[in-house]
Amino acid sequence: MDLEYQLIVPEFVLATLATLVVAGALIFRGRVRQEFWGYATAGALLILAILTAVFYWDTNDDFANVLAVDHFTVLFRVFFLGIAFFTVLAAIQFAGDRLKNHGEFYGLILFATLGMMLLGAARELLTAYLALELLSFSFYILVGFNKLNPFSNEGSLKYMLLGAFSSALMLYGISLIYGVTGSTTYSAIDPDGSGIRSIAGQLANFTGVGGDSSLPDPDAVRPGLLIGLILITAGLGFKVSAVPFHQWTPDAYQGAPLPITAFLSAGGKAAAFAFFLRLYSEAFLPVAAEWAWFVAILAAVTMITGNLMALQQTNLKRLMAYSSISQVGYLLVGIVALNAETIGQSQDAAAALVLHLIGYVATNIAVFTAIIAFYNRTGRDDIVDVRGLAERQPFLAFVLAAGLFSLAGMPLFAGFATKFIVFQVAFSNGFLWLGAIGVTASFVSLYYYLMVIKQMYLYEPEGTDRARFRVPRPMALAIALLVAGVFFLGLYPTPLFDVINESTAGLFQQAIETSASAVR
Amino acid sequence: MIIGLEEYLALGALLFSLGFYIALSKKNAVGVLMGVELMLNAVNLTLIAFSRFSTSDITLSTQVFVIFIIAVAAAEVAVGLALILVVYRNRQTINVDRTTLLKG
Amino acid sequence: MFWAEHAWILPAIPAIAFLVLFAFGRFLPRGGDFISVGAALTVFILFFFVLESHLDSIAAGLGGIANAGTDWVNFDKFIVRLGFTVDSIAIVMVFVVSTVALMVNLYSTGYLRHHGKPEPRYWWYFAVLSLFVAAMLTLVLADNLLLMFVAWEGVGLCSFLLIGFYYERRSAVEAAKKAFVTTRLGDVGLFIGLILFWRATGSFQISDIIAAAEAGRVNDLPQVMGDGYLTLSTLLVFLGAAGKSAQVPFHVWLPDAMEGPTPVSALIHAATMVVAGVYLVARMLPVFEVAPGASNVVLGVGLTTALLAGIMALGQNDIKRVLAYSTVSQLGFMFVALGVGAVGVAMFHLLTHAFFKACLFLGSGSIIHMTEEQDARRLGGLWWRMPVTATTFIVSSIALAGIPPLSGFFSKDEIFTATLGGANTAVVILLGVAAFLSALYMARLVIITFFGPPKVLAVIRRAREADPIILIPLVFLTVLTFLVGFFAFDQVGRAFGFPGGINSYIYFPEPETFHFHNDIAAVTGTVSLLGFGTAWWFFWGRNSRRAEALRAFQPRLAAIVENKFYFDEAYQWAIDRAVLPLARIVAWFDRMIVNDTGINAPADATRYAAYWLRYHVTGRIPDYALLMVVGVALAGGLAFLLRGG
Repeated sequence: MDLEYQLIVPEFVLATLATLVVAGALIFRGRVRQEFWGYATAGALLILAILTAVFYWDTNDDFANVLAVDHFTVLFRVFFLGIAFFTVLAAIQFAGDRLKNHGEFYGLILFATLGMMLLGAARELLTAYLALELLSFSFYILVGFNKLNPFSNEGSLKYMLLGAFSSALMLYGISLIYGVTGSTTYSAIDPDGSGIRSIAGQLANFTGVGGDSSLPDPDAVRPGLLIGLILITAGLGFKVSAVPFHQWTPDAYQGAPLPITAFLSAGGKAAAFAFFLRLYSEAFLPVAAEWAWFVAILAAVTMITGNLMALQQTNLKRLMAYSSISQVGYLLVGIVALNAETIGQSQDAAAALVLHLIGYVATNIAVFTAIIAFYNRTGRDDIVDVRGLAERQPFLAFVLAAGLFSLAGMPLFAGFATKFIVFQVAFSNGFLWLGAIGVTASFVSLYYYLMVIKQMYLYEPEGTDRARFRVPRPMALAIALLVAGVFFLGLYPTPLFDVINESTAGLFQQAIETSASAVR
Repeated sequence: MIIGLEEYLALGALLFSLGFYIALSKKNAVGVLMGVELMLNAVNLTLIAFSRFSTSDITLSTQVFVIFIIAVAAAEVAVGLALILVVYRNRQTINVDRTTLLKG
Repeated sequence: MFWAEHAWILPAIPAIAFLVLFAFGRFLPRGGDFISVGAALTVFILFFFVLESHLDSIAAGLGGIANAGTDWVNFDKFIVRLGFTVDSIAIVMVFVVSTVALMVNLYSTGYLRHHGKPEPRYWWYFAVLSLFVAAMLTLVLADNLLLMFVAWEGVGLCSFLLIGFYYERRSAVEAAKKAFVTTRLGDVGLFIGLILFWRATGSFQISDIIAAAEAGRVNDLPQVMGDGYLTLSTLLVFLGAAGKSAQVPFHVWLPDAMEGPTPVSALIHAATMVVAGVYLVARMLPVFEVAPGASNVVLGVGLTTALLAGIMALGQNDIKRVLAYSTVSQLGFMFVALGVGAVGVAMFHLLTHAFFKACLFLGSGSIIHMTEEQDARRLGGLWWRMPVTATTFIVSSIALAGIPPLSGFFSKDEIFTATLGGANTAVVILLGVAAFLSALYMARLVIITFFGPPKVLAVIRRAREADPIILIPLVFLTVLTFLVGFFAFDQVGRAFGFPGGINSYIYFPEPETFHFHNDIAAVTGTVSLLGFGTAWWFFWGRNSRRAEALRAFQPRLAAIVENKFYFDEAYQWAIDRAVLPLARIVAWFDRMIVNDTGINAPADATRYAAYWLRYHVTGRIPDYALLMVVGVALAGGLAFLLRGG
């Protein structure tokens, strides 16, 4: 078989880069300033992101039938590289002040990014599983990177044990799905010609639309299919931290070094959703009715619980953890809406989901970078500690306020436009009740976001340290860029939405071909 | 009696249940980790059974899948034990009932 | 056609200038005023490119309407365009906005300095000024109501910020608040109106709405909106226009808005923003024409405003306030023209008025800047001390009064001609009275400000001619005041590229060529001269005792005029006696019923639930894993129940 290695050059480059950073930091220990590795990594990530966007955008190919290199993959490649770039930029000062072994730190961030990129591209379950574990292992170590801090250890331990547990659940689900369909490939690009057995092709039997008739009686294997879908959804639910698989999230977020919290909440979640979306639209779309109800319940419970728990928090990191859980609820609404009458509506749902994901990630990184800048100066991360920030650092206060308003879904900001589109999809695909819960939950969320904003703007600074302080230039620039992006998305989402529409269209190729052949 | 697919699947399910019972009931973090390993082995058994009785002609990929799961599980143990060791150094305990600094 | 299709560049330039000034203004030399002036100058120059490409397209028989743009939001059935349209009405407005904005920018660089030192927040002033120009140009060029509404609120925001620029003064804060709240009242109407139109037609595009309104009335398509629905929506839109253009009963905010810096009054509260209402009605005039009764409402409101504001101007002594009431009155004239369907005439008066009124405001600014006095009774005798200011001021006043051959004469004459053709005689006579009043109050203002002996010595000592940077805009605007009147003539229009004059250039429903009606011209000219004569009879020199005598003869009437018909007091009374008690009842209801049981009960329940929910995150790993398993088990059970496994 001819393998077209040129398709996955960015992944190779990233793996090489990660190895080089780890090895280089060991070899040049003490001879190069620690910050160098940070700036080198950030620069390399930026260049790689730009080159990937330029050279791969028009590619629509497939690597050995395990990795898709289509618009969707490329969009997420660039997206993940961008997330890693901003994370590294935000981490440099933090790592210099509070962490050791910078080479390993940045190297692990790069490995995690590699895992994300592979996960977004995988179109075969073994590949996806390996990518997911690469991502997760990197994160287990990164969360516990602050070796001497008991919080960091504990968060990491919990994350690791529960992560392994959820992997086992998901693998059991995968084995059942394999038993039902006899394949681990999501979908065959050409269902008639290639002769490759695929999950989507086999599942089509269940709906009586095309597919392979060599399968045993659908009714006999139906329990296996249902349990398999539930277990896979549960495993994915853990990765995206959906209720009731969410409890590790606040603990790991609070324990982890702040830049890793940011990376986890942005990159980890985005990668899991890329996987979620590709798997459920490429492989499981034929049996959408069998899982949509479950994901709908997850979405509802997640929106409610995430927002209620956030009300009680006093720590900024934990607050952001629960806030990210509630955002997962909104994102799951997009997955639910894949279960639509027509493929066009499913495409709308996928595009809406990705748009909200990008808006959420940009906002979250902006907020976390601001929190990191604050933490670098004060070493504190409780909500009451930001008291009077508007006087001490008006720029950071403005960024935090804008970011939190965006997360709450206020007009002008990204959160409003993207959430509006997600709920609009839910409404028009018949999930009125889910949209209603989402809107109500958004109201509740405004309360706890306003608590933070109130502390910053309505109170005078307290304590011994009340002086104004400066934010380092690179960080300020990164924050300004992200906030500009948040405003731009909120005011004019159309250009990005068009790009996303183009990317997600490829996910439904198989579904379109199957329904076309059924009509024939 | 003839041992067919059902028997293998039942054994896999039993092993899986035992695994998560261990993972839920053990106080020792290493014990929890071992329970998870048992769950993974149950998955391996199920996968191999399916590949043996499959009508599909590409069963090889499933066996490769199992090999990879074994390898990943080994790596998981390595990372897991390292993390448990770090916790032990800082806290002098690996009892999962007492690692509750983070909650709420 | 490049420039007409890319007219979006015009608002983009000041928008960028705003961003730069907002971010870096305070660090730049001179507060970055050169950026704002540069942006205004670029817009002014680019306007001529747009004009040329627009006139070319007319000459080529393409109709001169250029649309361009992209989708702003396009999702499902909710489509909003980021669309811009250039047509003859928009061209006139862009001309006004770009010219006056440039003049005011230049003028402000001189005005906001005292003895060479810039005032505090100098950079902020120019930042907001740039934002205003961007928003105003967007408003003018928008091809749909929603984008226009966004810009509409944008100019309102800038107006609010600039009226309250001297926020150390309590009166400025109050005035800013009053302006914002009063115009908001109208804006709510406008917003409801545009949502109603959207509901009926599924579009925000002005052209679609016009087509839908005309369907079944002027063409054979089936009717989209019923008469009642159409009239209601149209009048709600007019509510917004009346609020922005300070028509009775919303006129109260404009005189108070004079608390802002004077150049702001010239740009926003005389030439551009306040005419946005006129512009909106002009754009949607086909809808007003087919909506039964709507045109008559426009006519009635315009006429009432023209008369009342003219009388109120007589009782004022503050220079800027006289000018403010005069603006209100002249806006009334424009609405009268719209009410009889003469859109070209209304836009023509808008054009001429913009220049002479901006000139008058800038002139008054020059006086205030030098003498630090704006009470006309304490001025006097400035003619010799400030000759350039005085000359430009007087010329503009004559233009406003409608004396030939200055521009105001032509536009007012046109309004009379249009009204004679489209309304009954009573309207024309009342309009004549309003025109007489215009001449009277302007002449009075000029006489007591510039002539007669100086009243206060300290004031007259300070009076010197201002810096050239202040005088250049004055002279430039005076020249325009001379010129634009002739745009009505075929020959002049032909020379500039719009043959047939302004009335064949902007028209609805069909073009008209300007005819000089000798009889009408004679009558209007006489009315204006009569106004001047009356002013001389009452206010010139010692004649002012006649005014005193008149006031002593009818003290009640004088008090009514001087107190502006007690509009403010009536509103205050209404707020105190009606709105506040009602608000108290609502507040009680809100506190007891809505808040305590309606809001707090769910809020408390939420908090209580959250409090207990918190205990499920115990921190123990086995508990976390257990919840996961329970979740899966429940889902499995449900699966067999729901999907019948």
